[in-house]
Amino acid sequence: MNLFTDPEKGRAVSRALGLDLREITPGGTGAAGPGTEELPALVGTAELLPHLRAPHGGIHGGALLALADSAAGPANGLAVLPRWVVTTNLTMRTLRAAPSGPLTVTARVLRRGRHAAVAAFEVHDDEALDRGGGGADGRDYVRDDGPPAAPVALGRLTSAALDPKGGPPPLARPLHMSAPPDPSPVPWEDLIGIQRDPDAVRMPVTDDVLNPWGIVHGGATAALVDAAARHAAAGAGAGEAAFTADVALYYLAPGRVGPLRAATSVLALRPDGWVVDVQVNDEGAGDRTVASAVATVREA
Amino acid sequence: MTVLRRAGAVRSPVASAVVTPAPDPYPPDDHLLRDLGLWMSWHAGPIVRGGIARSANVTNPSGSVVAGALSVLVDLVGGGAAFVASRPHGIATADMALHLTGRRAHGPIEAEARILRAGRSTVVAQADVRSGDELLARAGMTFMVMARPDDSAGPRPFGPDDEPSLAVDFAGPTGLPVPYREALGLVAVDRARGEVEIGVDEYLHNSFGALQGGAVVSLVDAAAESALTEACGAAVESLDLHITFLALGREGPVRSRASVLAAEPSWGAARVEVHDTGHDGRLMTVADVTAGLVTEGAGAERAGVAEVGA
Repeated sequence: MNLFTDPEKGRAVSRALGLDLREITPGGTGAAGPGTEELPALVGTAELLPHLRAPHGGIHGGALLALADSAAGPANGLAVLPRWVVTTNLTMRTLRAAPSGPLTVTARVLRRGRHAAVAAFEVHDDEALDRGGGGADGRDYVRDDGPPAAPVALGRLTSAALDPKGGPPPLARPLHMSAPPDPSPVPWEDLIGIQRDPDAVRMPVTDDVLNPWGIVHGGATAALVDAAARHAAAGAGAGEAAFTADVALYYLAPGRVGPLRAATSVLALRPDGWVVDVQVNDEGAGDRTVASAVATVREA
Repeated sequence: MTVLRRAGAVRSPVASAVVTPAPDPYPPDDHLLRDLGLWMSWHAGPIVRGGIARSANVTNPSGSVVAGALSVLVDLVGGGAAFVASRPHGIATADMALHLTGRRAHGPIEAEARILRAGRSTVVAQADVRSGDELLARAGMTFMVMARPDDSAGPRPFGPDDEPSLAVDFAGPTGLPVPYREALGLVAVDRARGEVEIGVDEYLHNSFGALQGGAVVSLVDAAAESALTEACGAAVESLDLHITFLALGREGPVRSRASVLAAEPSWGAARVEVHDTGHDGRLMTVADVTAGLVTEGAGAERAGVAEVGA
């Protein structure tokens, strides 16, 4: 049985983001894949809905990470068809924590190997794009002849290629994936289930945080890392508006049982913020380490 | 533990016990690793420790260690651990995330790497760099496992019982004779655009005969610092670097170009692309870097990047 045919299974994160994702592979045919030289590219749009906003008015860092994962992951998936992908590492640099929205996310594959693919992504504030400096072509948002239209965030995502039982998602090309917004959305951190305990930040493993593979969504794990890093920085003196400006996250094993526990240590206080180590363990799976990250938290 | 040591100055804590002739051709006598005074030791786990000599030539005017020099060290200890974890196959660095604390080195610069995940196609390693009790940097790295058996030059870190057990000391007789970036031959073509060049010389080769990953990161570091120092209006140092390696640099010259994404009075961010101009301009590496204000010695001469025509 194909893991990806149930339209309801593993879609909660995508629905919360309200992401509409379209393939814009160079050449316009969407015919990327083995035997072609074209590497896939996708562009997505998402309203910056109220339930995605952080208390300080910006977007939750975790939602931004999930948005990146939700665009760059499928781009890598298209690159390795007929296999499919799981995320193995994600780096993201956030330059503006309070975009106006809507957001446009672009993802394009940089490298496709036999076992892995790497995609670069950028998240832009549509209001900033309207002022010039780029277009939704997934290629170049930085002008050569003037100041850049600064992205909200940018980074890269690496995926491992696997052979899912029953084959890859049954996708028409060029790809168009649309997750209709949840009619009664709950605040982002409530959906993810973030719990700030005295010793760590935790996230239960519920259907809401699973992906179609039946394991914890990479974006949900990233959201836990973001929440834990900010929590640790707050404990070290950061203000409420501090945001995760930089994160490098390695996924080490699938989260399956839960709760996931994110333990932190502040490695350094630099002039630009707090450098925080985050280790994520699956308490219900023998406390197995499922992710390791270093994040820099900066005052807004 | 077997100890391999070449002729030359010895400064490492592993330099002791048995001395046997080095059987491998890498690194050659005139090589960056020797000038840095690199030593490494493999232990069960696998854990790999290593270090480089601290000198004024590897430090910034603020007293912190040049990010590029740290990247060489973490790439080698991380790669040393990944090599053991992936045997009998070879490995190549796929990405690196390097986070600097901004602290100064007051003594020897030492790193320790361990494996976070060892899969069939990739290995993830983490390395901490310390000077005494001070954490200077933490790095995460992914290594691709090559499909073929390893055929690179370099030491084979296995003892008779097939356990990781080896110590090497590559220290040359003189140490780094000039500032780090000058030793690499980095040449600034256009500072504001982060255009910096480096040659693919044997001095900078990795064990595959291509430009070493740490040298590529050093180019990225120099490019970002150049562009952001111009854009921010004050000397800044690289603090967080994310590097994705896409192809080896085999021909050269290898050239960077930076796009400034943010420039504030105290910090900035840039995206850097690296191309092999001698290989049809092939894109080798993409990176993004955050750099912050130098807290001490600001305005001092930057660490050794020559100007074109200088």
